[in-house]
Amino acid sequence: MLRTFAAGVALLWAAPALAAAPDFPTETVLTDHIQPRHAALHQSADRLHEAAATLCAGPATADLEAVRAAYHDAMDAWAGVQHVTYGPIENFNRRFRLQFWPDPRNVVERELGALLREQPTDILAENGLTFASVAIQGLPMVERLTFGAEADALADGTDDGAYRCRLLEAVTANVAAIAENLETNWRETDDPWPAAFRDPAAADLVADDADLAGIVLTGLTTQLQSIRDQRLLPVMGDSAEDADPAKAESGLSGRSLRGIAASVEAMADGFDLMFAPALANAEPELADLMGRAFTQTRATAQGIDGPLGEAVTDPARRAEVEKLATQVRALQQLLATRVASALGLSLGFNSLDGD
Amino acid sequence: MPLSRRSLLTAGAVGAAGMMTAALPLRRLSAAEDRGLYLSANTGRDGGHRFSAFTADGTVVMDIAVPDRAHGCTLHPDGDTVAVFARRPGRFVVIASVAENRVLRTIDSVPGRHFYGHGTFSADGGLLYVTENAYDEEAAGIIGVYDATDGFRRIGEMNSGGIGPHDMRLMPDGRTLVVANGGIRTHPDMARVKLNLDTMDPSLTYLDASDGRVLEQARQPEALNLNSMRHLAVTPQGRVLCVQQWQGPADRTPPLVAMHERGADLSLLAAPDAVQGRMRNYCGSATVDPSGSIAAVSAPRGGLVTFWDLEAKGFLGSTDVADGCGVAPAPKGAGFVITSGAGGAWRWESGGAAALPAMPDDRRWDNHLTLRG
Repeated sequence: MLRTFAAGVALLWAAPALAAAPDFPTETVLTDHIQPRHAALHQSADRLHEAAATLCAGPATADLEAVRAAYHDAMDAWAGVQHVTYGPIENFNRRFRLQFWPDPRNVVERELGALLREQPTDILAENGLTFASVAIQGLPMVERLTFGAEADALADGTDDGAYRCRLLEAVTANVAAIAENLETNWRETDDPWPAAFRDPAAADLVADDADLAGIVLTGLTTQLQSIRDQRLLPVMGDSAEDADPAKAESGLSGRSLRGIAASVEAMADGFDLMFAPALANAEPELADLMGRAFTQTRATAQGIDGPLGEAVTDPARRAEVEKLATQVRALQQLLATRVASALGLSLGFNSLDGD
Repeated sequence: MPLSRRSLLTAGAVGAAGMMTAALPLRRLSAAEDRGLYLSANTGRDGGHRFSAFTADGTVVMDIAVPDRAHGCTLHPDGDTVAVFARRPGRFVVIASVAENRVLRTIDSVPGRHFYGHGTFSADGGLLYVTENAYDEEAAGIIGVYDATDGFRRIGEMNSGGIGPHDMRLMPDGRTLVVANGGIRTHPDMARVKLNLDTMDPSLTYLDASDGRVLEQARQPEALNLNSMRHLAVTPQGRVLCVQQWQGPADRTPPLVAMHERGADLSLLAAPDAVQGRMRNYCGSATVDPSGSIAAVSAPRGGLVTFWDLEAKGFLGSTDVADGCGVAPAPKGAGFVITSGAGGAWRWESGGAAALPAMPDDRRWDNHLTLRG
C-alpha cells in the first residue's frame, strides 16, 4: 500500500496538464443522496420520538420493543449520513449531540446515574437539552435507556421509571429536532452548503466543483478511517485474548457491525453518484475495482454473525473481523491515493484539525 | 484547465486569485541568500509523528520523533533550543536541540492539566510559559510556568484570563504575554467536543509575565462571541494579529482577522465577499513579515492563504494552497513560506510561488510553521 501511496502522490504532483478536468455532478449528489438521506434521518428520528411517547403514555413491554426497533432505524439512518462530515452537521456541536461517542470513560452512564439521583426537570422542558451536556443529548442515551440493564424500568410504573420515560421522551425529541434542522438546512435555498452543491462555480464556499468534490471525498476517507480506527481496532485488540468488547460502538444494542454495513452502503451510494462517472472516464479499471471494493467490504460486514464484541473473541469469526478491518483500510487508501490522484482532488489534513 | 486545477499553488493560481502583487513591497531573495530554518510538526506517510526543520530549498536538516501529533513550537533565545507542544489535548512538551537533531527532554503535563499546543519562552530564556487546560476546574484557562534553567521544573501557574487559551506570544517589551483565549471549554473525557458554545467569551488578553496580572483584554462585539480567537502573530512594533474560527452557522461569514494595539479597540478585518466565503469561517495560522506591515493568514478549510496590509488595515490578496496551513515569513522581507497538510512547501513572493525543490514528499505538514531567521 505504501508504494501505491507514493505513486499517487507523485502523480498528483506531476499534474498531467493535458487531461481534461472531470466534472462532478454535485447537484445530483445533493438531490439524490444528501437531501433524501437527511430526510430519512429526520423521519426515523420523528418515529423514534413517537414510539417513546407511546411507551411512556402507557407502559407495556411490546412498546419497548417498538422503541428499540425505531432506535435501530434511526441509527441506520444516522449511519447513512455520517460520511457527510461537512455542512450543517458542523454547526452547534450537532455531530456530538446526536452521538457522543467514543465514550471510553462511560460518561453517558455516569451522567444518567446523576440525572436519576437528582431528577432535574429543566432539561425535560422543550429545548431544555439544547445546551445540556452533549453526553446526555443523543442516541447513546436513548440506547442506554432502552437497552441498558434497567431498561424494563421504563415500563414499571415507578417514580424512577417515570423519570426515565420523561428523559427518553426529551432526548428523542432533541434528536428529532437536530435531525429536522439538518434536513431543513440541506433544503434551504439560501444556505451556503446546498447552494455550493447546486452551483459550485458561483458559490462563496468553494472555488469550483473539484474543490467541493475534494471535500466530499475527504468525508468518505474520514468516515472509513473512523470505522477502522475507532469502531474496529480498539475492540479487536492484538488477539482474541486482548479483545475489548466493551469498546464496541452501540454495544448494548449489539449493532456495531450493522452500523458499519449501513455506513459502507451509504458511502458506496455517494461514491457511485459523485465519483464513479468521472473515474470510469479517467481510469475504467480503477472504477471497476472501487465498485468491487465497496461491495465486498459491505458483504464482509453483513456476513459476520452476532455482535462485534462477541465476534472478536471467537477465533473463527475474528478472522472475518480482521478481514473487514483490512478491507476498510484498503478502501480508504484507494480513495485517498489512487482515486484522488486520478481525479486531481486533494484531501484535508489541517483542514480537519479543528485547532 | 489542467487536471489538478485545485491541487497546488502555482504562479497562475496566484494571479487567478486576484493577488495585487504591485502593492506588496516584497523583495526577492534567492534560496542561497535565505539562511533561515523552517520548523514544523508533521506526520509521515508511515503514520509516525515528527518535528522537523528544513532549509530554504526544502532540505530537511532536523527530524525527531515525537510521542504523538504535535502542534506549535517556540524557539529559545539561544536560537537552538526549541519547545514543541503536543496537539490539544496532548500531555507532552518536547524540548529539542535543532543543531544536535535530538530530544533533550520531554515534559509531561501535571495531573489535571493538559496542553493546548502553544507556548513561549521568557525574554531571557529562563522560563517557559505554556497554555494549559485545568479541565476539572472552574478557572479553566491556565498558563503553566516552567524553569528552563532547572530541568523545566514546573514552578507555578497563572490564570490565562479566559477559557481555552490557545496561542500565546511574548510582546516586544519582553515583559508582557499576549494570549488568545478561544473561549471554548473542552475536557479530555469528551474527545474534542466543545462544551460551552452557549456561553463562549473569547478574548485577547495581555498578562504581566512576572505575576500573571491581567493588564488588558480586548473583545469582539458580543454578536461575535462564537468567533473563537485562536492564533496570533506579533509585529516588532507590538501590533497583535489575531485570527479566528467561527463556531456558528455557515450562513454567516464574520471577519476572521483582527488587529489590536494596546489601549485601542480591536480592528476587525474582512476580505471581499468571495474570498471571505471561501475561507470557510476557519483560520489555521498567522504570521507577519519582518517589517510588521504584511501578514499572511491561512484558511486550510478553504485551501487559501490570504495576505493583509497591516498599515492600511486591509485585504491584499490570496493564493490557493490545498490544505495550506503553516505560514512563516522568509527572512529580510522576501515573501512567505507556506506548508500543506497534503505535503509540500512553497515560497511565495511578489513574482509568484515556487515549490521548494528539495522538499521530500513523504509527510503532511501540521498547522504551524516557525522561522528561525
